[in-house]
Amino acid sequence: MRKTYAIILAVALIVWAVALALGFALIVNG
Amino acid sequence: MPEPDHPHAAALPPEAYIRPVDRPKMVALRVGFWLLVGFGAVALPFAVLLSGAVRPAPKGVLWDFAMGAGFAALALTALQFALTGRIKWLTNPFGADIVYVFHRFLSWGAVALMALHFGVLYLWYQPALGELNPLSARWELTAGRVALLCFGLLIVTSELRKWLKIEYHFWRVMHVMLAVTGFAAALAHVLGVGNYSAMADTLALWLGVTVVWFGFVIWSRLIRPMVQMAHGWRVVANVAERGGVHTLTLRPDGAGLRMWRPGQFAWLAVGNSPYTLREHPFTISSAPEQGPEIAFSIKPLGDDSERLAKTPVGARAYVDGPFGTFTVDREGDAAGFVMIAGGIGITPVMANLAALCARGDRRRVILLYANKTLEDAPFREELAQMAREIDLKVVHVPEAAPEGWQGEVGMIDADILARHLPAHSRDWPHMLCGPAPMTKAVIAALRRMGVPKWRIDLEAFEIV
Repeated sequence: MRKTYAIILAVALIVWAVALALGFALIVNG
Repeated sequence: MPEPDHPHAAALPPEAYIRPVDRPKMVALRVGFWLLVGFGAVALPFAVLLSGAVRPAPKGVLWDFAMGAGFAALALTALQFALTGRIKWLTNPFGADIVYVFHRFLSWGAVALMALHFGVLYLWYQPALGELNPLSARWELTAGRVALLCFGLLIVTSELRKWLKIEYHFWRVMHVMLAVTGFAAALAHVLGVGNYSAMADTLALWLGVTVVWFGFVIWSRLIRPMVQMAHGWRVVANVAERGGVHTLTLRPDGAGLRMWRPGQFAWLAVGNSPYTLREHPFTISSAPEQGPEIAFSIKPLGDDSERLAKTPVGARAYVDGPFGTFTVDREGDAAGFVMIAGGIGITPVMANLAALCARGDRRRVILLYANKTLEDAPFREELAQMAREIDLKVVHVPEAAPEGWQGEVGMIDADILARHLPAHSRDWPHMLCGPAPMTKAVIAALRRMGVPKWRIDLEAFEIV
């Protein structure tokens, strides 16, 4: 159970990181 | 059913043993806080980059996305040092075993982002990468390639450690070396390329990241061993148990363990100095009520556990802990417990049962205990004694039955579970510790029987 949460959380954090990178690119480029 | 014999009067109700920080609401708050910190830490570089007086000049969405992926990868990688730094107030709400699972999967993401950063540049902006030959290439670009190589190697050597036959101690040394080299190279890459770090505030950010990261390395490799040095331990007994297991009892020379709950584990190093990577996580098989001495029950499984099991009485030892959440001390509201152990996975169960015995806890405990043979089952006699002290039912499940054996035989499966777990036990905590194939099969069977997922707690003791 805790292991499943850990994997979900890791995936969420990675998706968050990709979204930030994309958001950064879009904001910088107007 | 006869009333079990309780030599100790139950002085306090089970809830009295749950510390305020371990109560469900506090655990949820602490988890929430650390999640915010984690998500915030990844967002920090972007917040600094975008909030500065001078905005980064646009160079195309794809280029800036590649840069963003690189920064995000670096932020995720920096988090890894915090996750693996054995910081108790960070790991304890989750359980240190699970923090390592998180570390493992997050690493994949970090390396994937690094590969994305490099891949986009390689495919669409190849001239920017310059030469590959490190002798003629720009040093800061070589640093980036070194970082990618180090982190790629970290993943491969960790995921395939056993297949590659890399000895555990060698792997740990290599893991630390590759991680430190990789991160230093990545920082040098960011600062050297200076795409965004040339601006004063972003330069301050990356220097701040460097200082914090360096602080973690200094803390975990220099200061913590120094603290351990001042609080050494002495091996006062080494007792051979069934199944080749050896129980080492350690007495503290200085302060004993603080905030220790039954079922937790600690890193053990035997020798004259805590400045070693030759240390292993082992469950403390005794209960805090039996302290300040602590016991580690070690099964020689090749590598270093062979050496540790033979530790002579009088040897010096260093203990870093306690960690982990495989404990009855988070289950004040449980009406009873189901515990399922395989082989040496019995050690956290022993610690929890010893605590329940010492407290005269009256709750029902059903233990299913799998071993190759009955002769091999460590702590068989101790468990029989505990069953006389508390309301404990022990179900031995040997793979091979001894002559005249009337009990269960084979692997713990749905039929065996159904025979011994009454319907009203479905809402009790189910605490599992044992080899992965066993726990996987048992979890599947328990789920089919209607045990809620959140009532199954697995101690993930084998990660690499």
